[in-house]
Amino acid sequence: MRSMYRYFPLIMLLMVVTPVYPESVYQEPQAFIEEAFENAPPKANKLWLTEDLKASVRDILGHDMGVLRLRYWMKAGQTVWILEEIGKYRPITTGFVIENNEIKKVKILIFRESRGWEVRYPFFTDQFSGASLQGENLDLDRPIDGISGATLSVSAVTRLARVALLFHQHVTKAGSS
Amino acid sequence: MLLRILHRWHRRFGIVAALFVVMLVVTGLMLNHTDGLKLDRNHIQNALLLDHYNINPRQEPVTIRVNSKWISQVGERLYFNDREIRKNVTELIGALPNGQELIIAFDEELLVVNDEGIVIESLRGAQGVPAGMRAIGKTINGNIVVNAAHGDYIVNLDSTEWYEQEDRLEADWSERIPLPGELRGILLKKYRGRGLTLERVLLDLHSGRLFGTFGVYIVDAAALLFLVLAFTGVWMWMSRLK
Repeated sequence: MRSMYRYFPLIMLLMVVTPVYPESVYQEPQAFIEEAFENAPPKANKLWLTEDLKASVRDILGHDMGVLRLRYWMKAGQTVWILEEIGKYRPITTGFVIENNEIKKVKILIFRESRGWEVRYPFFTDQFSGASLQGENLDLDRPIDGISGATLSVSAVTRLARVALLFHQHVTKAGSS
Repeated sequence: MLLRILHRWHRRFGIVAALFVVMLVVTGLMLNHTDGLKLDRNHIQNALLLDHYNINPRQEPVTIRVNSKWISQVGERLYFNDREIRKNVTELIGALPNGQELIIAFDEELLVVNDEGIVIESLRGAQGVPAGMRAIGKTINGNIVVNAAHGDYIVNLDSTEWYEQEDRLEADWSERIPLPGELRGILLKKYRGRGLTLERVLLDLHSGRLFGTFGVYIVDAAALLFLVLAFTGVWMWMSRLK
C-alpha cells in the first residue's frame, strides 16, 4: 500500500486539488471606475441587498451573491458596478457602466480561469452595448452569441450583466422615489 | 482445430474482460452525467481514500483570535470558527474587531463579517484596498491601519477612503498563531472532507490511475483485450459462415 504513494504526487497536484491558475489583470478596477467617470469618480455608495433583491439575484445567478452589501459608484444617472462570478473554478471580475437602464460598457477586468479568456475581447463584450432587462424573468432584451470553448465564461458574464442592470434599476428607482 | 482453440481462448478472455466492461460501463455512464449526478459537488468522506490521495493542507494551519472568535486558514480555505467562509485563499494576513463587525484581511481583500460569520461585504482594489497588503492593525486612536507594499494607510471603512501615511505607524498589528489542538482537529476534518470529489475518484477508477501507473497499464491491457475479443469474435463468426 505504502509503495503506491510514490505514483500519486503528480496526480494529486494536477487533479485532486482545485486547479490554481494565474490571474490576468486586463485593467485595474480602480482605473475602470476612473475612466468611466472621466477621472472624476464620485465616492462609493452602499447597496444593501434586501430580501427581494437577494431573491432576484438568486434567480439570475442560481446562487446567493455571498455578501449582504455592495459598493457602487453613481454620478449624473450613470452607475458603475464591479461584480464577480465564477466561470468554472475562479471568479471573473467584470466592470459595468450603466445609464438609462441600458448597458453602456462591459469590460473584463480580471480573469482567473484557464479557459474562456476570449470573453475579454470587444467582439464579445460589445454585444452588451445598449442591452436592457425585459420581462419578469429579468432576461436581456437580446441574445448574446456564445464562444466555442468559453461557454461557462460567456454564461457568467451574461448573468452578471443582468445583475448589474437589476442593481442599477434598484438604485436609480430608489433615488428617484 | 484452430477454431476450437480460438473459441476456448475467446471465452477465457471474455470472462476476464467482463469484469473490466462492468467497471468501465458503470464509471463511464456516471461520468457522462457528471452535472446531473452532481459528481463534482459530492465529496468523499472515507478516511482511507482521503489518505490514499494525501488530502492535507500544504502549509501549517494558522489562526487569529478576535474577541471570542477564531479566524483560521487551513490550506486554501478560510474559516470563521468552524464555518468555511472563503476558498482560494493564499494568505490570511490579519483580523480585528470593528464595532459589531470583524475585518479579515487576506491576499488583496478585506472581508467584513458580522459576529455570526456572515459575510457583509468584500472590499478589494476597486474600493481602494492597497496592493501588496502585508499587515492590518489598530492605532492607539482606534483607527484601522493597513501596511502594504507602498507604506501604511489609515482607512475609513464606512466611506472606503484611504489615507496614505508618510511614516510607519505605531499600531497593534494582528498576528497569526498556530491552531489550538481541538479546533485544529475539527477544521482538518472539515478541510479533508471537501478536498476530494466523487468525480475525481471515478475518473481515476475509469482510467486505472486510482491504482497508480500499474493500474493504467492494467486498463491498457483490458483495452487490448477488448480488441482481441472483437477480432477473434468476427473471425469465428466468419469461419462458421464458410
